[in-house]
Amino acid sequence: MQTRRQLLRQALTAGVAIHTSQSRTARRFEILSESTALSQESARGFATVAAPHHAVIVVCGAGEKALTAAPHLFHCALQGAWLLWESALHDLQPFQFRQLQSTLRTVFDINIGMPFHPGLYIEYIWPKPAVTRSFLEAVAVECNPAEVIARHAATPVAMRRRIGRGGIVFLGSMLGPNLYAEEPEAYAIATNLLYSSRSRPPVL
Amino acid sequence: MKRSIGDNIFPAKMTFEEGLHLVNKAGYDGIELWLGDRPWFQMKTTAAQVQQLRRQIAEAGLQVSNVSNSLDWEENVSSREPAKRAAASDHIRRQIETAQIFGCDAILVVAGLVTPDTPYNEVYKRTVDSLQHLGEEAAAARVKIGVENCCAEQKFLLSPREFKLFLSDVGNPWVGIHLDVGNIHDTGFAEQWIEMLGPHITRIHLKDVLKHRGRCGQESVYTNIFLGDNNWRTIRDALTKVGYDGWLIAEMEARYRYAPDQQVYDTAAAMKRFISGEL
Repeated sequence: MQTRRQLLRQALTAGVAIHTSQSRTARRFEILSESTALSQESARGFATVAAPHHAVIVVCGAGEKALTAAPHLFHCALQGAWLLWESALHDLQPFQFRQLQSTLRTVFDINIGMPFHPGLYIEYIWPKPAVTRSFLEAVAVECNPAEVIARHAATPVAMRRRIGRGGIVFLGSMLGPNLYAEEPEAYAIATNLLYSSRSRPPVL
Repeated sequence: MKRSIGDNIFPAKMTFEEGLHLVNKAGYDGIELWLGDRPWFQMKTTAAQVQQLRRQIAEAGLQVSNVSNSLDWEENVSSREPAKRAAASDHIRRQIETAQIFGCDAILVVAGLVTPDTPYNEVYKRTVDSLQHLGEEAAAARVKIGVENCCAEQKFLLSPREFKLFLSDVGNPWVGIHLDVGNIHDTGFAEQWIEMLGPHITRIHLKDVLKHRGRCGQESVYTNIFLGDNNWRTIRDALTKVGYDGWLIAEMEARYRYAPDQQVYDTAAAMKRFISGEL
């Protein structure tokens, strides 16, 4: 398995080759979805949110496609794009989950715990304090307290981190299906996430 | 959130004044007045008498949370009989007028009764039409009409999505839902009604429900808060989710056989605990 350093070097050197196509990517709102039903549902949900003016790539229900694209997405973030990475744990086989853990750790330096059932609600504290429905399983994320943007009880389940000129917002519980179901609070959170990703979250 | 309870809970021999004293002593912030239920507040009660009720309520250190009525079950806006429809509109207008006198901004109505003789579509159309007219009067008076979800009893507006569509068809922001978390029985989940109808909620009735009893037999399907099947922790979370911070009004059906005043105290304590979120 590649180390994080090797992966980053690969992303940076590959950057020259993929820069032409990436520079187009890094200027606009894109939705990356998998072939699974929930990822598609999530993508339909995110498509209802008005696109921000800066570069945002929404990874809906991250699965095989997202894992393959991770170094490329990391490069986009280095160049200024914001990634909204949404987990969809129930779609993953155990070996795929281990792959996800490994990719998040090596590419984005994000450590996640095992999936758990979070109860009905997730509390967002940034960019807008709001409560939204959880979606099946969630995953705890280990990060600096200042990076936490949502939690279930005391467990952080979403975070935001800067990467180069852009960054990543990691969601340990799906949000897109709630948008698809027209949940007003989810819509407010998603809109604010897409529009505020560049601003600094409060230190808690 | 503020706590209130209906004046129909006052033990039988208690006067209005004694009842207010009990409600205040139990720690409530307000009182729900039921037009047509107790002798002190009837259709024939004059404006001067209503003013007197208002003074007594203020002197007891309480506010009026809302004006409800017990008349809709006999005189409903969806009735096939024009005289009954007119009577329903009259008592709803009286609720609006008295709410203004009491200085509160919400009334409760039971609008639409589906029966074997009066089919659903007919009830729907007539109820929407009536509330469109009454909604204009409510807007002028700046009093919100809260249509209660008596799902099992009315056989009408059985799901939150249907209720939302109904409010959309009425199309007046002064007409919303007076949500009763006990009335949903086994056709759904109270927290989902709260989530879907959040901004439209005018007031909330609290009571618990014993779902296995159904709405039949000799025993009440309703029971005291925390004794039944409602998921109170989730209901509390849902209220936080939609940002509801208004009145909570206890509505008890089954009554204590002994020490009836104790039910008023116990209910106040349960509501306080519910609001605190320590569940």
